[in-house]
Amino acid sequence: MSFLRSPSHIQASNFWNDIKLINEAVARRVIEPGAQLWNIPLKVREDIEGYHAMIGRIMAFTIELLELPRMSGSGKAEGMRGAALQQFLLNCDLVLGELEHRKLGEKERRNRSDELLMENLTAAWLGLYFLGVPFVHPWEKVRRLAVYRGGFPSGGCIAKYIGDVYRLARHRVALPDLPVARPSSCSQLDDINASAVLVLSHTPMVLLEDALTYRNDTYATPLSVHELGRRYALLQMMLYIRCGHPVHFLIPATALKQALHKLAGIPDDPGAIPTEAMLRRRVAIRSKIRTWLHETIFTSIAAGQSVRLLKFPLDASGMPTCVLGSKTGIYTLESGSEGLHFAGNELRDSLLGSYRDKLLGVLKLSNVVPAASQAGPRAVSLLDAGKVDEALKDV
Amino acid sequence: MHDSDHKAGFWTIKTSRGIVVYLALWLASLWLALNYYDYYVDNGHSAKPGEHYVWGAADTMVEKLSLDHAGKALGKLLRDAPAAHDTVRAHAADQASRESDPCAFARYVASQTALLPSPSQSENANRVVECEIGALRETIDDRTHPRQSLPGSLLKVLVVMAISWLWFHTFLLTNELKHALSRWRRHRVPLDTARFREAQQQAQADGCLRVVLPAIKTPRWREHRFFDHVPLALKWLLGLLSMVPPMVFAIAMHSVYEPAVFVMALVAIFVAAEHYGGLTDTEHELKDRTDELKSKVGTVLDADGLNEWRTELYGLYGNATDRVDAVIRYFDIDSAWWRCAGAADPWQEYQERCGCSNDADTLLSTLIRTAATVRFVSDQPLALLEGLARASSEERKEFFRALLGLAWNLVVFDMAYEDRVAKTFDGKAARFRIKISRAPCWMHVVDETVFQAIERGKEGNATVRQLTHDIANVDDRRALSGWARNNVQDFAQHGGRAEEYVFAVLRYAALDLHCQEEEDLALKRLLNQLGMKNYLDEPKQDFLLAAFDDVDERMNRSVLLSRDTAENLCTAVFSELLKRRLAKGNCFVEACATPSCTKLKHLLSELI
Repeated sequence: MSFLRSPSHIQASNFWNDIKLINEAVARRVIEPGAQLWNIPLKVREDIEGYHAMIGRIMAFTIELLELPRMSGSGKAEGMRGAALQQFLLNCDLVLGELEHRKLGEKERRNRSDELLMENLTAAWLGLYFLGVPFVHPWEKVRRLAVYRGGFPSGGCIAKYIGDVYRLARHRVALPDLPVARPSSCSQLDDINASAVLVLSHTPMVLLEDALTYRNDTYATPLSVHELGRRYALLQMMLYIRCGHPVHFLIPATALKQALHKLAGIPDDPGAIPTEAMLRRRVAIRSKIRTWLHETIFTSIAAGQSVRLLKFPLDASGMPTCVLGSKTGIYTLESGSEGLHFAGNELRDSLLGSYRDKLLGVLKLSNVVPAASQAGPRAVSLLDAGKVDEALKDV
Repeated sequence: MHDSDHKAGFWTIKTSRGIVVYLALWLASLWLALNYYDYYVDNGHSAKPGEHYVWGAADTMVEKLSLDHAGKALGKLLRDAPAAHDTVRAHAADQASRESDPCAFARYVASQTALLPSPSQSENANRVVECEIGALRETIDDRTHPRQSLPGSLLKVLVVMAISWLWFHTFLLTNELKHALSRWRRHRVPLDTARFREAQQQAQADGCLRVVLPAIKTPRWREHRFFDHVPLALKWLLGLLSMVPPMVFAIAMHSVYEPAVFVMALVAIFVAAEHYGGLTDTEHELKDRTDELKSKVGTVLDADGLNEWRTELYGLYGNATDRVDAVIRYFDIDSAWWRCAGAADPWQEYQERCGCSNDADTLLSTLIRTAATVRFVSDQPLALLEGLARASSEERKEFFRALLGLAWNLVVFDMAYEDRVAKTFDGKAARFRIKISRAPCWMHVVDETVFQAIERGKEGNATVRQLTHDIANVDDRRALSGWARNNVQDFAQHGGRAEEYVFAVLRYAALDLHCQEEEDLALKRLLNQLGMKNYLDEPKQDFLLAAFDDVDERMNRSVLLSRDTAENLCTAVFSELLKRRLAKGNCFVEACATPSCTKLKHLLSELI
């Protein structure tokens, strides 16, 4: 039936097929034992036949995407460019139908046109990145649109931004404004913490492999872009950790419990009783945490790196989950099965500073051993191989 | 108004000089005229007593002026016209006949003497004849010009020269005074911000909520209508004053030559001087208008305009203390760099040149001087790269030039950073960075100065304007520059690192050449793929291709480079960038990349 499809539809569908292939290759290569992470693109190329033509296709599609206008306020873009946009939105829907047998419908795809555009652009960036020719242009447009929209769409875009936080932090250490000193004393450790990446996470990728493939039916684009985005974040996180740069993961125990529920497919509704299969799945996910954390992510542990399971509740005012570098960061809002379309935004300047202060406070608090002997420690370091299983027993 | 005039205030050296010259000329011409008068009288030009008594003569003239005389003359003119005409004709005929016959006068004298019958009568007659001869001599003396002596003539020439000069300067001075006056009327005492802030702090310290407004330093009274007429009055006043020396001269020479003729010459000088003054005035006006237009429209960015702007910008960069945020559309490459062609290591040569004082206008020496944080944003459209294989030779040239300029700037930024770090105690200094981002507005913000460039089609049509040019108020300047800076910073924030872009472009070029990841980097091949060949072949601003290198530093000489040298220089830019980036390194690549052996895959270290 391909002769019935318009050229732009063929282009879009080829593009999404390419992204899918890249995603599959990356999925294999990133977690390969002993993988040389810095030449992942070369490994990915090995797995993809005709990557040369693929780069050409993705570049051509990227140019098309870059030239697309944003939809005007009234929801109807005029003239030729409006027609191009309409065609693009239609193609998005058709591709979603081909790959996932879902449909957005005319109203929704019009309402979510910015989101669709941003996710397509992110996919283009990720595709080019994993093929070894990253050009900032598509992502730059995503960031511009995020300013208009007040945030990034859930899924791939947010994951890409999280990856960028690690990447930027790593590049900053590689080319510092000031020479980096390894910590040798307590006061220096404080200095190091000032430049450490701080993560407050409810569904941490550092613990849960299944978080990579988490699917949400409200996504407007095929799952491959969301997975690829998360794998990009994973890759950057691993690169950062392996370079020995400081990072602290803070995971509230209660939130981890819920995350396991969510990944096992147990519904939010407290009245609903989980099925046996769901519970089995939950246990399986939990049991994978140790190997994932110790054998895949932290192959070595450097000073200034920690993963803490917080036993005490964060204060009631709450705080969105976030990944904070020293120059830029992102907050994300995690929600139930319904999902949020724009669930995170970048943090800069003083807002970033206040978030960092808060998390550094939590970090300090988690180090304090309470006086009362009957109470357990406030936080458990999951990097202690012996303590992991015991610590996770309750969750 | 010229910029220099603006800065100097309303009273300029030119004004003072004009007044001094005028006064000197006035005194000189008066002195010469008086001297001539004295000389004339001394040389016994039989001036009758009281002949040069001006007031008496004026009195007599006024006495002789009467309505009766005028009426009589008018009557004669109108009524006796035919008769008078006849008399005149008869008299003329009589004279003509007398002159035509040389003996007529003798006969006339004889006929007169024949009328005298006796000796006593003849004695009488002798006396009469002597009287007559005396009267005749006097008439002849009166009516003929005296013999001119050389000193007298020279003196006269000097006087006339001095007077004509004086007249020219009269009009020049009136123009100058007119302009000075208009400057004075427009002159505003700038707000003393330090004092204003002090006053404000004082007010706040006193617990006063009222905002202290700066005293109004605008003298409104200078704009009064009364001053509109001052230039004309000045013109008349100076004109009258300048009449004095010529009057003296005219009186002195009135009996030597017809003063009316001299006055006519004077009038001619007057008219010429007036025109001359008017012309210089127009010239002045034109410059005024050009400056005014410039402040409104801006400098046109053709080759000259670009040079002018670059000089201005580099000057500002060098003195900037806070931040430089700029959107760059065209990365300049110093001509000093192309002149390093002969050196074994052109970058070292360039650095040495910038270190010494004679190449102070290069980018590197400017950046070494500056204390500011420098951030550039540049738009490098992806579509150009994607379509490079299909592009025309001209487009490929443009693409390569943009990439070359970017890479060149990155190297210079790194050098400047190294220099900056070396100067600090703790090794901590702000980096110079370039970001790639789509920046639709073309602005340069240097501390509190904002330049806005406007693109008009092809290059050479763009103009640049300093938006803060006319904003005297510090707060307004700060608000505008703050807004512009935020704008540029937002572009930078969204963008990616320029190094990453350059590396990605190189890897992208390697795709079409089917380079192997493990082979040594064939930089020249990659660059040719990106349009270096087209860049060298097409005409360009940076240098000219020639059979041999000629990098002489004579004025306004374009650099001549042979093809090989030019190619080596272009490659040196990129290889230096690679060397610097890979040496800094990423912890993964340290082990495998050495400057002598860079493989294609090593470029990934920058990209991952």
